[in-house]
Amino acid sequence: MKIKIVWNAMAVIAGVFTMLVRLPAAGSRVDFKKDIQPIFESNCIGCHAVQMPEGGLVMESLDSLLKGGKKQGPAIVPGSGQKSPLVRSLTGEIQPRMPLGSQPLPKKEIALIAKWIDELSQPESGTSAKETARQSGPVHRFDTEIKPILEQNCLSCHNAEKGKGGLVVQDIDSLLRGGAHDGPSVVAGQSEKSPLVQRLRGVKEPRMPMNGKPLSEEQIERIAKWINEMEPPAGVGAVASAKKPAWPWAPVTEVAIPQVKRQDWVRNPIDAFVLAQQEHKQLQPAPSASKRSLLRRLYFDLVGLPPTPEDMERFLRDDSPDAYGREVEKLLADPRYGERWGRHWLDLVRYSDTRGGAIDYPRPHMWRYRDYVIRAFNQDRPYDRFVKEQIAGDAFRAYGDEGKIGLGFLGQWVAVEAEGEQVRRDYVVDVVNTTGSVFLGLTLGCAGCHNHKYDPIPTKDYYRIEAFFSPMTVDLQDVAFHQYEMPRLQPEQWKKAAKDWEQVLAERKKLAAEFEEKIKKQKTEHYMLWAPQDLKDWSDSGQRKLPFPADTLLTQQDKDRRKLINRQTARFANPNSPDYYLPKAYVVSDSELQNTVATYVLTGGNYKLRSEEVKPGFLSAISSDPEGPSLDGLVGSRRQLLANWIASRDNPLTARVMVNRIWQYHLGEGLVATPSDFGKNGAGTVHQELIDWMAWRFMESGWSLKEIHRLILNSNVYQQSMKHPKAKEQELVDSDNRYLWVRDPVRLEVESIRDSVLAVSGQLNPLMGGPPFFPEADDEQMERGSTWWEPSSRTQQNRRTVYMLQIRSFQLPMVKVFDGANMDESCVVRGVTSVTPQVFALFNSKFSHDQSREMANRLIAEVGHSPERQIERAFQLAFQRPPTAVEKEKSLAYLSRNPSRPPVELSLKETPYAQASDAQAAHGQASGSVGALADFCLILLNMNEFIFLE
Amino acid sequence: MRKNEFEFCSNVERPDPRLGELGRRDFLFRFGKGLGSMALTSLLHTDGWLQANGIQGDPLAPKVPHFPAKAKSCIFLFMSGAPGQMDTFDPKPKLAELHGKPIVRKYGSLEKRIYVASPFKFARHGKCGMEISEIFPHLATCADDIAVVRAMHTSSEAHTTATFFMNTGAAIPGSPSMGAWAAYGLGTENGNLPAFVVLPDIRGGVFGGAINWASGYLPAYYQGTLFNSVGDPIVDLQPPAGVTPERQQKNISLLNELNEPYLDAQPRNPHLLARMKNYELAFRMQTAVPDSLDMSKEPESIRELYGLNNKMTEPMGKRCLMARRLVERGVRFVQIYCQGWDSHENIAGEHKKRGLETDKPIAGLLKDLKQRGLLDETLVAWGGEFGRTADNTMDFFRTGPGRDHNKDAMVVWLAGAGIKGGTVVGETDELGIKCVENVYHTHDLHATMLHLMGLDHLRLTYYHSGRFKRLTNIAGGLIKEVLV
Repeated sequence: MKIKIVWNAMAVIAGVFTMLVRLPAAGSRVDFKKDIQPIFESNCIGCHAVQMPEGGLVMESLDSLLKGGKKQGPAIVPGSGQKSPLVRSLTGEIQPRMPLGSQPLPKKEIALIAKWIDELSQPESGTSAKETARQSGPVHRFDTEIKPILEQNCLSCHNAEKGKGGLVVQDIDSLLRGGAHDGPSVVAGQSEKSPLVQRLRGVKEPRMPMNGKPLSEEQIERIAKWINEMEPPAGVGAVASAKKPAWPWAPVTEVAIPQVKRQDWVRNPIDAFVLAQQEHKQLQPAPSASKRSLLRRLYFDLVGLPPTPEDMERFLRDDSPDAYGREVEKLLADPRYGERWGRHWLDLVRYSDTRGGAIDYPRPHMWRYRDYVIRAFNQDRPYDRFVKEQIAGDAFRAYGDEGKIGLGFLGQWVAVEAEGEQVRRDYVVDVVNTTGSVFLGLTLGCAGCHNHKYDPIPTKDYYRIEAFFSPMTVDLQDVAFHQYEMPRLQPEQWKKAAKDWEQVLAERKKLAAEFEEKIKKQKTEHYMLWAPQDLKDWSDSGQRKLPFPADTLLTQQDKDRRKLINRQTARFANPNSPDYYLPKAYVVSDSELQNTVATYVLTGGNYKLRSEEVKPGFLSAISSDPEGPSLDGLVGSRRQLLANWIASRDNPLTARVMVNRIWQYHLGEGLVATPSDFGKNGAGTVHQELIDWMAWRFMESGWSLKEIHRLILNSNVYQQSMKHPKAKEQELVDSDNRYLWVRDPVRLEVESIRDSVLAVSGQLNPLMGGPPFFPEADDEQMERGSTWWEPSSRTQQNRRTVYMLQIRSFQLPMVKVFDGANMDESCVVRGVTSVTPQVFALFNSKFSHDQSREMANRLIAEVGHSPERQIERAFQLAFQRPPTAVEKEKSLAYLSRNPSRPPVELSLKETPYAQASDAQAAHGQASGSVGALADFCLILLNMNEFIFLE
Repeated sequence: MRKNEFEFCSNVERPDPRLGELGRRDFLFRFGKGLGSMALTSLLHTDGWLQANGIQGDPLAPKVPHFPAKAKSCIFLFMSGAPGQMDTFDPKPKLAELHGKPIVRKYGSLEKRIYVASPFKFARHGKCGMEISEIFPHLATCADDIAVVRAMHTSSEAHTTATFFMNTGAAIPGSPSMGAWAAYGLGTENGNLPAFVVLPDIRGGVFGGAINWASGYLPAYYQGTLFNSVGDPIVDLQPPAGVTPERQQKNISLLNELNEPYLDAQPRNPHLLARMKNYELAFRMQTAVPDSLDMSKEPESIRELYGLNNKMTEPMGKRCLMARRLVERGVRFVQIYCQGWDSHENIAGEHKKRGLETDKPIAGLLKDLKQRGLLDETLVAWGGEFGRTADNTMDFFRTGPGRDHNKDAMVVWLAGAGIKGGTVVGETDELGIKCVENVYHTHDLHATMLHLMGLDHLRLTYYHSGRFKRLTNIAGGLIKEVLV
């Protein structure tokens, strides 16, 4: 784990008094909780946490500090700060100086720690009751009375080395933490509920000590008495600790904007937050990228397409100071923004047009949810409302049909064949886990089987959340098309398409029937002995005659024909099938019996092992309402309560998680690099304040995504170059660029790559919305994926990739190899890989060759036959810049060695469904037509500059 | 590092505070972090793969296993549909007595079912005297090379989920397949070929399709590559007709020339150079892949050994021979699918036919590997997704009885590197319905197979969705009896 934030240390240096560092007034006593623990949490806990502490030293509590580490023994010597190894490590007296690999702590903080240790021997007046109790009461008695018993009987297995069952019994902390089976071993104040006592008494099997003599009743009684006298911790839930909630569990509050030395670099507060950290680390931000790079960045980032050469020229000529800002506004208002940013959301919700699993049935109406997402982004729909619609759109009447379509979120689960109740179980688990990860950034799923190992989420909480979903079912309902859904595509057109398709289908079916009749006739005429001779039939009397296997009777031609007929008459395999055009949507509603539906905690997540019943309730670590909301007299849905809670300003996670996602999609990596795991085991962040500040602004702006876009895009952090003059030195300090002193490389996502190829070739069809288009795919590959479809017409196929049919069991090779979203679970980060099959997809595929040819035709149409002008225009189209002298020279040499021939008009027949054979014929014919120029275009489309942003 | 068998969600080794040694590199790849950064460059240098093929950032370069590996490669013969254990390697004479008698049951459905004896004779083979069904006469001559695990069971009884389970260790999609794990842990010995190749049965799809060789949450480059049986073995391996190798090469050289100046624009981007290398590598693959599958130069004796001269055995024989040629060339994991074992009826005919189709090719593969000295470094595994029942419904009168699905008992065998040949492990009850002695789960099979490839299933982890995940989930142990 990285060294966590060094923010407070830096603030001291800067001489700023912030809310995080509270130096006690002179003369007052130092308080561990208030004064010391925050310092440790910021600087030390990253390595010295309970999980895998470095050097065995845990710095989470006074007890653990007194216990100390392997090397130096106890970290503090009560009464003497100067003698304590802790202080000596911080000053550098003991090497290595702590914190390792980070700036030393400010002297003031070290002095404060020393003072605290100096005061330790005297009773603390300012500490909490619990702290006192732990030091004078049970701790003392534990050491003198209890520990010897445990050491003698339990420690041989439950020591720090072996830790059987994850349980260590060395100190109170470890008992409170407990093991993997029972959770905490000791429930303070309640010996009868403490697994330690239960196991010792044999109430819980297996009795402890395992394979040993039971403890005497007197010994057990002594342990029980000690537990009973322990003060129960404040708060609810078995795991919730008495500590104040740590980030990100604490409420979002407004954070002060830090002061920095280089004020001139600060364009908006984002820069201040980032620069303050860099200054503390003695890092310098990179210079701004070139104007050309910036516009390209903006276009790909906001609309997922390159600017046109004319866009670029206009922008480069515009010298006004707000030229960049105006481009930001223009692109935020561009409807293509929704197509680009909606796709990010579709990644998260594992959007697919099919159900998944073996048979992978279509969900032919799912595209309405896809369009809903695109629409919501374009309208900058307040995020709280967006959340509510997707969890309980049916219950919020005011949202109308739009809310119902939003429920497609709950209909995205992956349907795997399973038996009986397991089917329902799989569904609910999928919904709960995805809700947890998408909206709350939590690995909630872990708590389905056991208390969360790292975050304060007991199993009970998981089922309390599940209880909100318990009465829910998804079904296909009639939801009329609205004008706002279809700004460009009229349902009337679909009606015609559907009607055309019915006609084609009828014709095909007729042919199919004739064909089958022929086969049937042949079949009845042929018989043979089926089983091999040496196998005597033992189950029947006499020999059997079986039909001659049809496949040996048919010619290859017949077989192909039959296959095609079967496919062409299949119900969903055609983009023109009326099923895709019906006014229906996947809507969730609650069972009428919703008040009687019970939810149980399931042991190990197994539906056969029901444990206690639970009522709907929120996460105990966040909610102040341990009982959960009352369902008495509830009108509407339980989900409405959950939606309100998630979309509330009081929920500490919702806004933080979302601003981090926005950041991630802009800069390539989230401030928390594990965007759906804000928990302790996630990647963590050094930018907590920045996240908090943006989260606050996000909510203050009425949950406006575009507001956050504006802030990020207009910041200097965003506009930094990918080159840094001092890169070598700064990498020594921060090789992973956690402090954002340079922009990380950006590889276009597969949607942008494919869309850009189409845009540059001039073939992009900008039609928005409506049923998905079916791409051309390799026949055999489709069959292996147990699926098949007929490709859409060429103009349909030239639409943006977000409208491509999304099939769980079969991803188009190009999408797959360029790290397309995995649709089986929430895809939180797209991979960035460079693998050889990408060459096949972008350099060898029919798609690329087709588009290069189209681009060559476009060049000839636009600038004629002069190679020089063709090269210049090609570079402008692809990269919005003229070729360099060297590039031009090389390109000219290439084209002159391989002269181009006059173009041949591509005479592709435009039908509602593309005929693969037509396309292939045209392809073969045209491959030599524009010859070298097409190849040259193909080369440009494969250049690094085409898929990596500068 | 503390390890304990019960603490299931943190049972991993973490050399780096957050990521496994492999995980760390992939983490950086995944998040597009600069490989040019100091720390990583040195990490890669110590792996020796920069030198190995000069490709910066190649995650498939050979990696050092956790401990010396017995097997360099693995060939997994997947008998899709699930063969019946009592018809192949686990004879149950008691069933012959009960044949045709109705089964007695205390509860459950009222559907009438009868016991079904195996229609096949068993005989003892090899020095070890292993009992093998008559449907495998050729394999029987290899009895001393194979180790049969009789008391194996699994977690699902439906084809698709059980097939997922056998391949990925989980019944729901989303987890990496065993081949992907092997590629992740070990890389590949031959950069011109994929690390993990799948050879499908030409007769049809595998239950659940590509999920069975998917990379799941591992990065995409670890996924299995399916070699098509017709056309290009890999989609778009070859450019469209009319693009000659000369033209392709000319295009690649102009591309790389134009790409070169851009390297300076992003000094911290390792992908730029990797992509340039990829075009050359792809060009080499255009020849290497077809070459690895070209069987025309194999001598007649080999063709005969694999059964290429017989129409019945030819398809499987071809796949087996391809597999040998691939592991010979350094491919890490080859999976061969053989469809058609799902004999709910007419097991006598259907299983016999599967035997006729696969017996000679599989035995040929074992013998060929052995004569080339490859069997010592290749692990061969055979098995289906689950086992079959001892009883059947009554509605088979048309074709003869068969068997239904059974997850509580199944049979697999292993051969080759590190395997103690001639071993029979475990026992099922007298009807072959349930495992009773030395019982192993498919998780244990996975652990054992990884072990033989030099990988500790507890240490081969990947950080995903909040925890370090592995092929064996939270279970798995070695099948010690089969190990040398």
